[in-house]
Amino acid sequence: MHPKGRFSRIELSMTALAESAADDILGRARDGDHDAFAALIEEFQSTVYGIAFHFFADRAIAEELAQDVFLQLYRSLSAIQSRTHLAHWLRQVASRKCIDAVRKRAPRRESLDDVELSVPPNTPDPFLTRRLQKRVAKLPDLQRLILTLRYQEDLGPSEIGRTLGMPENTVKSYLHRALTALRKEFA
Amino acid sequence: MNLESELNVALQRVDPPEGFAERVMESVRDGSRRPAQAVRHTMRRALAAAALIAAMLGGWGVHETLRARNELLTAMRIASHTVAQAQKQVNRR
Repeated sequence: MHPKGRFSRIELSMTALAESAADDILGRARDGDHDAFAALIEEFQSTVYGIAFHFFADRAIAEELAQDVFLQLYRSLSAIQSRTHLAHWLRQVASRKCIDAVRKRAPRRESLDDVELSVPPNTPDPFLTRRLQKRVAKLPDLQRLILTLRYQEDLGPSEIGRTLGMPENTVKSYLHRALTALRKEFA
Repeated sequence: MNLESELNVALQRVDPPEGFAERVMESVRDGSRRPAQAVRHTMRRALAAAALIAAMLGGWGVHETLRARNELLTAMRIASHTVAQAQKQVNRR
């Protein structure tokens, strides 16, 4: 057997193992085990908080929204079938809450001087990352959200479409517009 | 510059402030959302400022009361001196 094929099999079985462990935690959380639910929060908090933070550029709003998402998850646990379903559900609910919050609240602050940024440690060029984050924060709401799902969550256009309930071509068009706007300044 | 790889860096997942999972679990137990850590800090700062202002106002109040009491005592001393002088003159006649 080709060694690469053997490695792929090992990788696949490890992924399956991780999936089954996560499904076990999910099952325990569904049965009312609070420790298991806390473990799910720990696992997915950076996904949910990240979506909200990149959308609002405001830690307090991002945390409130993320808390709401996990509270809603707690009430909806019986409907979650697997870890994959859970990841999709969390991205979907977080994204919808971002859009709803923007509709209900006052518009985001116009001045971007006080936008909160989060530059990851060991960033090769923190100055460039900061500039890029500030520019992304200026993009229209949906473009910003779609960029976050694309680059934070590594989702393709069809999966982003399923998450946001919009056609794949519309997602592609938003992505294209956002990237064109960014390339004008950063190319 | 490769824009897409820069976006992967700029839009990485972000960890919430410390204690996030605990705050969610507290909310799960009592069914109401906890204030975000940033809001808690703001509330704490506002409370500290309110306490400081109250202390300053309280101090100002105490100072004013003491001043008023001293003024009253002085006025009473002057009045009593004047009354004593008047009584002396009446007695002389």
